[in-house]
Formats: sequence, C-alpha cells, structure tokens
Amino acid sequence: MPRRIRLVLALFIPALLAAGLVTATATSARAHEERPAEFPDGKGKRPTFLGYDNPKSRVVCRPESRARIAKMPAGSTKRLNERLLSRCRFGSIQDAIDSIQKRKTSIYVLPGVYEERKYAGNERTRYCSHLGTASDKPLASSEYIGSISSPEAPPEPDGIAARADETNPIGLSYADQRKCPHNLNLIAIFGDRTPGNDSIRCDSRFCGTQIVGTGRKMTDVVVDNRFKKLNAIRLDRAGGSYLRNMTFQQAEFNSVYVLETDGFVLDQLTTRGNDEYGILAFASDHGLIQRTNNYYNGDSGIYPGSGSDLNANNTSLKVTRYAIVIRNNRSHHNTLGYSGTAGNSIHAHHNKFFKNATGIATDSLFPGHPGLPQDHARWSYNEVYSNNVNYYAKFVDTGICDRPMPKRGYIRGAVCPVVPTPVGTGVLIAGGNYNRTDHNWIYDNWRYGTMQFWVPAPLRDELDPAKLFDTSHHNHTTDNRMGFTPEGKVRHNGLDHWWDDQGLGNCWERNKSSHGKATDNFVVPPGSCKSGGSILLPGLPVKDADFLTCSEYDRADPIFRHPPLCSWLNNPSRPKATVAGSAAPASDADSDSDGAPAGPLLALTGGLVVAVGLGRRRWSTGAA
Amino acid sequence: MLRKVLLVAVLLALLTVGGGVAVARGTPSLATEGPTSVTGTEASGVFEVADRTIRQVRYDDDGTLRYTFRISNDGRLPVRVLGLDEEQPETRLFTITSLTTATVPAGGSEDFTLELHMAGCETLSSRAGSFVTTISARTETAGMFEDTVDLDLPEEIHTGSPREAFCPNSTATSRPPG
Repeated sequence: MPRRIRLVLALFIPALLAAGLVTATATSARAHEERPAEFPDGKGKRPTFLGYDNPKSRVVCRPESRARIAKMPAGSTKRLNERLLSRCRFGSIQDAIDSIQKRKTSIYVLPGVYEERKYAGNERTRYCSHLGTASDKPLASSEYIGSISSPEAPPEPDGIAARADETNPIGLSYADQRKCPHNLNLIAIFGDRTPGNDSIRCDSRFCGTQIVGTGRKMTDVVVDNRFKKLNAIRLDRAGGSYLRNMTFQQAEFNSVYVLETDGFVLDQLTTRGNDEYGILAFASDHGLIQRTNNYYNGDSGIYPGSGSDLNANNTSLKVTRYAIVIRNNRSHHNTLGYSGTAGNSIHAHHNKFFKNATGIATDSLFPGHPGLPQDHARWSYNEVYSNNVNYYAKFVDTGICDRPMPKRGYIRGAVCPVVPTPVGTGVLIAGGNYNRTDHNWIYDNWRYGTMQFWVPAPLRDELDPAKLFDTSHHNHTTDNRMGFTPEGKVRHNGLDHWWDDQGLGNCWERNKSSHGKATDNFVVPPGSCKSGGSILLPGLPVKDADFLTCSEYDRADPIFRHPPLCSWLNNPSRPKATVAGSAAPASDADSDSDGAPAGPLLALTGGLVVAVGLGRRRWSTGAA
Repeated sequence: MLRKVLLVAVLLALLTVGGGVAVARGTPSLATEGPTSVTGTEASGVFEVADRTIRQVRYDDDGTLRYTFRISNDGRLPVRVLGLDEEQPETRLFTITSLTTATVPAGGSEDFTLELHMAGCETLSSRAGSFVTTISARTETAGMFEDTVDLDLPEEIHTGSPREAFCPNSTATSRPPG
C-alpha cells in the first residue's frame, strides 16, 4: 500500500479498530502459572544480614561436610565452619526450617550437597495426593485447578501416593501449598499462618528466616533438586527472608522462587541448570537481588515479574520508589539474561548480562500477570553484551530438548528455550511504559542493541478498545555506550536501536555509538526527551510483526519449533563497521537523536503526523 | 458459399465453447473480504500490525468458533463453494472443521461461515499462540469443473494458549512450560 494512503488511513485506524473490537466481561486472569497472585501491602522492609552469630540459629550439615571443612585453607571461614560443625543437629535444610520457634532465625548450612531426599520423593498424605478433588481449601477460582489426572503420566509407584486416582495439580491455593509444601517444592517457607484472613503478610515464626551457606564460595553449598520438584526453594509470603552464599540447581520451574513476599534478599546465590528460571520473584516488594550468578536457564536467569506496581498511576519517569533492586549480578548463557512480564518498578544496575540469546527483556505480551501493562523499570550501568547465542539451533533443532528433562544436560550447559526471543538483542522492551535504559554498555549484540515495539492489548487478553494502544510510551533510552566495552574497545551492535515507530514520548539521545552516529531504523526520528519525545501514531508504518509470527513457537513441535517466517530464531550475522575509524567516544556532545525531522516521508507527512500526534496525546491523557 | 458460412459458424461455435470451457477450467478467481464476525468465544478484538490484520479470539477449550466472512468472485462464471478440502494448513490450537456451502455469482459475493474447533491447549505452552490465516476450499464451476482454491482469510485468526485454569486437560507434565 502506498505510504501516503497508509498515512491517511492511519488517521482513521483508531476509530476503525475501536469499532471492530468486541468487548466482553473480563476474566480475572491475574497470575503466572500459579494461583492468582496479589501484591503485598508494601508495609514490609528489606531485611539485613544477621551475621554468623545469631543466637536464634540452626546448623545443617551433610556427611561430607567435615571433610570439606578440613580441606579449607586456614582462616576465619574455616574456624567458623569448625565451630558450627560441632553444633550441627540437622541433615536437612527443611528439617531445620520446620524446627524454627522464633522469627529471625538463621539456618547455617555447611558445605555439602543437599538433595533433601526426605522431601524429594512423592510420598504424601492422602489429602495431598488428591488435591484436585479433595481440597478443602480450593482456589476461589475453582476452575483454576482443573482436572489434573494425567493418563499419560501416571504417578510413580512409591508410597501412598501411588493410586490411580491421584491428582497432581500445579495451581494450588496458598492454604493447600502450605498444607502440602512438598507437592511442588523441595524446600519451602510459608510465612502466612492465617490463610483464612484477608492479609497475605508474614505473621508466623518463619518471618525473617535466613538461610546462609557457610562455604568459601557459593558452590560450596549446593541444593540439588534433580528435577524432583517444580521448584528447588519457595519463599511464599515469607517476608524478611534472606538467602545467602548457596547454589540452587536443576528445577523444572524455578531454582529460587519468591512469591507474594514483602521484604527479601537474595545475596550471592548461584542458580543454574533449570528448565525455566534461575531466580523468579513474582508479586513481591522490598526485594534485593545481588551478587548472584545465574546460568543455563531455559527462560531467564533473573525474572522480576509482576513487581509491586508502585508506580502504576505515575505519569512521570521519576519513580516513587522501586519494588525490587537487582545489582551486581551476572546472568549469562540463558535464553534471557533478565526478563519480566509486568516487570514493574524494578531497578537493575551494575549487572552483567552476556552470552544469552537476548540480554534484557521486559514485556506486556502475556496475560495473567498482575500489574500489566509493564511500567517504570530502569536499567542503568549494566554491561549488556555478546547476547548472540542461538540456543534454538544448538539444542532444540538438534533434538537435545526432546530428551527427558534430566537427560538434556542442563547442568552441563544445554539450554532449551521456553519462549521465542530475537537472538542477538541487547535490551528488548516489548510493550512497556516509562522505562529508562541509561548509562549502560551495550555492545556486541549482533541483531540490535536495543529494541522496542508496541504490543496490542488484546494479546494479553485485554479487550477494552480504549486500551488498545496502551503500551510503548515514554521510554527513554539515553546516555548509553553503544558498541563500546567499558574499556573503550569497539564491539559493534548490529543496529544500535530498533523501534517500530509506535508510541508517545519515547526518545533516544546522548547514546554514543561505535558507528559514529548511532544506527537505527526510525522512519521519523523522535523528538528529544526534553521536547516530549515521539509523537507518532499506531498505523504509521509498523515495520514488523515478527513477535506475532514467532508467538507460535513451541519447542516440542517439529514444525513450530521454527515457526514459518519467524526470523527471530535465525542466526544474526556479525556486524561490520559502518563508519571507518570508529573509536570510543570522547565526549557527550554527539547525540543520536536530536529531534530534527529528516527524510522524505516526514517532509511529505509532517503536518499530518503532528496533528495525529496531538490527537494521541489527548487520547493518552484521557486514558491515564 | 453456404459451406464457408457453415464452416465459420462451426469454428465460432467451437471457439465459444472452447473459450467457455477454458474459462470454466481456469482456477476460480475468488478472494475474501469483510465484513467479518465471530461467535463461539467470549471475546475477540481486531488490530493491525505492519501489513497484517489480526483477529484475536479468546480460546475456549473444546469450543467451536464460527467465523463469518465474505467471498467475492471476479470471474465470469458463478462458482459454487462446496466446502473444505481434505488438506488444510497446520495449526496447533484450531482444527478447521467446516465451511458453509453457497454459490458466488460472477462478479458478486456471498457470506460464508468457517467453523474452527478449539482444542489442544494441553500440549502447548501457555505463552504460545496459534494462527489460522489460510484455508483450502473445494469449488465447482459451471456445474462440472471441480477445483481447490487457497483462500487467505481477511483477518488472521489468532488465539493464545490459556493458562492451566482455562485448559482443563492440562497436567503438570502435558505441555512444555511457558
């Protein structure tokens, strides 16, 4: 279609689309693959480390702990472990947790491998084996549990769970999770002892529990789930939890799972070899994730999804506060280094995201996450580099991901992507608002340094016509080093910035590019941040619909493991310099977007664009 | 003279018949267009991305989606749409089950309803989706010449695989994570 006609049509598209939408009663789809989750009340606070001399403490060790401690070099850590070893009364972390009498108890975990075999099996009470039919505390949305009896995968013939009528739902009420803590979790802390009341706050003896590895490094204490349970450790409504200096590995869902928790710290953890996530925090607040190392995960290393939506009604880029801070972490060799559907009010800084398929992604693509559409995340001072690894080609296409999960070799580096993502991309904002991407080093990402596009609301099951264009507004990408390492070496991105030209108030400026001037695909350069950024309208040339095509991705399907025409999963080619003699930027003078209109299209359509943009502003204000 | 006239007449008749046969034998010139409508889902919406028009429908396990659209005929002969061909494009969450039957007049158009059975979510990740963009229809021209025509629908019908709550046959192991 000629551009001029398309442009004219663009004036009418919102009305046409609005007329075409059929609204219906909204279904209360509010959660991940989980019970419907809700945000904490925000009255909690981030805990502090209680040290190694907490009088309220338990010590856990394994038979091999003594020998491992003996091999430690002389020093304070060895002395600490020797002292604690003499106090060891538990062989299981869960046993130690269950023995807690008072809040703010520390569990000291001595070097060793913890398989928690007592809880890893399927031996369960009759009630916990029949939750699908016998639950006395089903979810309020009773249909959520569904008919879960699986004729394809009958229960393992061990213990009293081996009954033909056993059910094994994965969507449980909090009350049932608490009553049956090991249906889905190897280790679990449930902090809300009064699930019958309206509050989800931690109110039990488990509040403020700290689980602390005492080794010299994170991998000295390993919790190995061996894919026995969906999650290796679950902190559920467990305000004040603190995990430190340990490794969690080999879970189908999450190694470390934090849910509806107000106040938590995950410090110096390694999470690895999981089918989906290393660390997943959902509907939680007052969180800190720091100094962790996350790798070999089929979804993301760190997932702060549905962060407390503290800034939902904030129409400024400046936040009231962030719900979760993520700093000084390494997340690499995953499908995504960081991802967060509805990753609201998150601040990630001074992290390294590298050798993933995509470095950082946040989105409003999927229904069922409280706090959609996504808003108010900030990524600053991170290194986002070399995210070009095509795990689709490497492990899906080769049949490795068709093997039973424990035989895929996750712990040795196999990654079986759960979701489609554009291989070779540094930072991806798929339908987000009021996000800041600033002062990062984004380099050697062969497809795009940054990528941003509008996500139509119906894709997340939001069918209110007024919300059709409610994403991809007011995102600022500024002051980044594009194609440069922190040392100033040139490592080009494919294209520095990719944008679909949609949304209001978006801007890219003061980004220093290894190409000289930052490369982008903008049809009409957006205005400067100060002047209000982009003013375009959906309907103007949306460049690409790959995210729709690629949404058919299914790693288990021979055809749709590479959806026809989905280019995201293809190998990006190594970029070449577009400007000879590129070097590290010497000053902040060179801006890649100064708001100056350029190109024939704008010359042709400038007036219309401005008019339409003003119209959008009114719409946006009205919808806010 | 009479013989020549007769010969010309016969030739003309043959040409006419041959031309008619040729026209009838040609692939019917059918295209799809709006207006469109759907029933059998709680909700749907339409949006455009790039040059694509998407009809997003809410998945209803074991439900039947009825999608009504118009087929136009640019040809010189009426074309009867007999229904669906046996072979249909691959799709994960839909089974293309039927297409109404009607005759599309030459130069005219007619409304048709396509039925799609929604199933299979228990084998597809809850973050994946499924499209129906094209169907193969059987046609008959001039009452004798059958053909198979691929028709691009006026909108790409898309649905997402629902969460466990709305996928009653899903189990902890029945579908890949997502």
